[in-house]
Amino acid sequence: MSLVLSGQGEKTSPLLRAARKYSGHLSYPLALLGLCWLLALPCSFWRRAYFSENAMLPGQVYTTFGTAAHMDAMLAVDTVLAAGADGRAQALARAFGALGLDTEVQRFSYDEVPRIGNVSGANVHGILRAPRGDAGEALVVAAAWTTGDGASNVNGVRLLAALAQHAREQRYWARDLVFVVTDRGERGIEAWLRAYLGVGAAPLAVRSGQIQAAISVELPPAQRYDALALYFAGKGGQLCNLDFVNMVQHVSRVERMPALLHGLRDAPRSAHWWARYRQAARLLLRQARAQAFGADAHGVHAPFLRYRIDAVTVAGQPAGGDAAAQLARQGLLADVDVPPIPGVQRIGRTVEASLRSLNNLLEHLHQSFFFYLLPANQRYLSIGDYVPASALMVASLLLQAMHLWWMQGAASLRADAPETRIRRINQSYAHLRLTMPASVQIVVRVLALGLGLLLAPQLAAWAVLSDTTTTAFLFTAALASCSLVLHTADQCWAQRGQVDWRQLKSLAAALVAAVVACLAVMNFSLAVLVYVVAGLPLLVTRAAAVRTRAQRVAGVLLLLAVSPVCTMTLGRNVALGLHPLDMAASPFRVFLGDLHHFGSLVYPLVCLVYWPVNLLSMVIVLMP
Amino acid sequence: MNFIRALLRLAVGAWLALVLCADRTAAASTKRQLEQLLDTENHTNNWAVLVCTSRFWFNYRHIANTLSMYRTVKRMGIPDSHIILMLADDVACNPRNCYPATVFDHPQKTTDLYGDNVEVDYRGYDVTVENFIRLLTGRVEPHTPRNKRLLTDDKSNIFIYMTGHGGEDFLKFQDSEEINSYDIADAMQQMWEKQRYREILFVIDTCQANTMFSKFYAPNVLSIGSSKKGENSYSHFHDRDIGVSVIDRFTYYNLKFFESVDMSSKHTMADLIATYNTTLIHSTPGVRTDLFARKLEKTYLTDFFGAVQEVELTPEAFPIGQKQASI
Repeated sequence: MSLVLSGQGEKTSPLLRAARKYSGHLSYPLALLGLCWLLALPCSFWRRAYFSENAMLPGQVYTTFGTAAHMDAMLAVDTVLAAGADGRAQALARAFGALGLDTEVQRFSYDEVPRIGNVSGANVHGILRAPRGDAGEALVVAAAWTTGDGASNVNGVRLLAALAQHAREQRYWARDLVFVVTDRGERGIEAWLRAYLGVGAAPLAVRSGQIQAAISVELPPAQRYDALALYFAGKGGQLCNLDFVNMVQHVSRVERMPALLHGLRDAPRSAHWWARYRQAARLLLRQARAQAFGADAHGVHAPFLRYRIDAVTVAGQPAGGDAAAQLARQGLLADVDVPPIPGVQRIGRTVEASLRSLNNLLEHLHQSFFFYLLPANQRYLSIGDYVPASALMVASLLLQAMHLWWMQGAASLRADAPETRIRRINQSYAHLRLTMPASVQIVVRVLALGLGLLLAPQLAAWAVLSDTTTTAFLFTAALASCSLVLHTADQCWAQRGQVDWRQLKSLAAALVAAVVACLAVMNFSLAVLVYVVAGLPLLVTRAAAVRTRAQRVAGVLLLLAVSPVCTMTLGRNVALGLHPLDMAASPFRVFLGDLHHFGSLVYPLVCLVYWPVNLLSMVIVLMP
Repeated sequence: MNFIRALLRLAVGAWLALVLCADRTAAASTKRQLEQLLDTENHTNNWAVLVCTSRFWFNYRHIANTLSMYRTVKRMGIPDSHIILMLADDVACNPRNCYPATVFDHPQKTTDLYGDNVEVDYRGYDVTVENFIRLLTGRVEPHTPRNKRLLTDDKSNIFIYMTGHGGEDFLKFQDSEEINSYDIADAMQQMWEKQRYREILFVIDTCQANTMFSKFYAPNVLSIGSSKKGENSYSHFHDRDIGVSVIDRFTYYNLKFFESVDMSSKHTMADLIATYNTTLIHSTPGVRTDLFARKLEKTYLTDFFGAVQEVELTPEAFPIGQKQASI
């Protein structure tokens, strides 16, 4: 109310009046400035990474992995392979037991739908009890039987066996070591974690203490690795502590097989500034994709981060054109034909040195940053460097909202004469009484559609939601949205005096601003993405006056181009990191799966913010 | 007749006076002899207070510093009963120690500092600021055992050694509290007022160590620190088997000098301080002598580090047990 009354006050200064008149125009430069700030991030004025935690002592001890005994331990995995896909869990448990670990096989299954299927799998874990430790805490080394893109990860399991053999020969463990092998990738690890932590699922019988940190190993079949790749983002955009990332990078460099962030090498300092900018932008976009969607599956570290366990994946990067790697990706390489691990000593020593540094710690990693962006190896951008971009974006939306709220109603409400002040107050109040219910009703309608979009798939069992059923559901929802927009626009034209498009746009802008502001400190990449696909189109909706029908139709078509269905279809290969020729995978189903299995927020945001705001923008264009 | 009686009284009087005077002079000479015996110019006993204020595995070198000093002090003759050793003592039996039950200060691992005969008086969480100040000032709880008390008197020379993480005017005690230079200065003044020491040698090896003794004001205190304000003190050897740094530079170069010193040595404090080399130590050691009465060239190392007893020979035998001497 005071916002309305203040406009009619007697003592408005010329400055305030000018601000009210032109503040709407300021929102566009602010949005542009926010985007330019983001574009400036890949420029080379980053800070150098450093170690915050003094207790880690990374790379300061001799590594001893690589003796004949460790290599022989890998043969145990070959005997396990002979047992086939069904029996290999038990065979692996026996092999771990022979190595001296306390083992257990966890068989999990949920979302059972009769005659259709369920989600099931088997996890095997073996615990090496620290000989002199007090079992209060544990470190996890994890691997899956397959890599994120479907190739075999037998080499990863082999390395795990060798590491287990090495670990049991040492005296210096202060924590138990848990070696986990899963056959369902990230979902298997999520089920294992829930059982380990006693959340929901049937708890494990063989357990250790709190998990302090986890390292996941992914070694696709190859004859040679170019380098190691390091991944560190969780399913919901959580990042692991920067000290952990820096530590693994440092120890891998000591072993002369550097672990590169997302497998990308930095442009050399002698390169042209544009090449350096492009390379940094590439790395930042990869991180943004991993943080926003969490769908870039490499290794099994991601589920740990949701439970506040710092975890990274160390993955081998096959050399380009490697024959074995190409065969494996196409699924033509049998497990038994996988060549031995190239550079096994260096990779094993990297993991050993990382475990040793984690062993030196007394507390969870807490000294370094949890919110950062890494534009290059050994460089970082702290939250103070990138969050002003989102602040500018939010400010642009808020300014627009305030300006439009002021501009709603007839022009006579904004006259300056003090003698008409009381009349103007009454008129503006009457205007609000008339138009607010209509605006709120429109907003509630689109939100109800979004809610239906969110809840309906959750009522159906996961096994029922195949790619085809979800595509059909999405198509139906798109049709429903179109009809809702047109029907609402029709109603607005029928009740022309009762609706005000400025008021509606103001409310929508405030909603998006609130969502982006809250999300910016939790998951920055997702916040920027929500702004770009939902906030920016809203900002420019009806920025110019629409008078003719052609203009309205053009506006609606443009908004359709940025609607969820369109962007997800066109951008899915880029956004989800899918293979360019993979046309069948549905991003909608991927997001729904992430919500269902990991509690990821992308799908709820699409349903409750992106989709409704897009529909609201269309309604605003079509309104009188 | 009266004349003879008067002469006799005079004789008796004179004899009594003579006897009494002789007695008094005998008592006075006895007393003087005793005073001479007890009122020597020098100290009569040595104490050492060795404090390591750090805990955790990555502070291995602070424990090693303190234990090396302990070994040196014992080798030079101070017995365990006169040494107060305060350590967190979480390093030798730490599960991360791949040489269990040992503490080394050199990568060659020739001497196990923790081997036999280590008597730690304050260990673990007992090493607190409160306990340290109570120890120095003597205000300990009534039930404190003897080995945890600093039973010094006004003829004791005390060697206080502190190491750990420090900063400007403060020293971190075991990650949860700090002691500052004013606290130690006030404690020493209390000690002086209670006549709990004759001279103190205060050696400190931390970052910005010289600030810790900048606020002292009690007399007869000689202070040596490893680095000045704004400077860090650095570690020396890094042992890649154990995975930690095992000794600090300042302490290492002090110990190196002490290898040439034994119980009978005539080396002085000036000799020790002359060996300090800023390039090798990587920091600027500081010495504070304005509160110390004697010259450094005349102060033997064994005044603080040894247990050399002053032997006083009297010209006559002292009558013990024959008569109650009126002292």
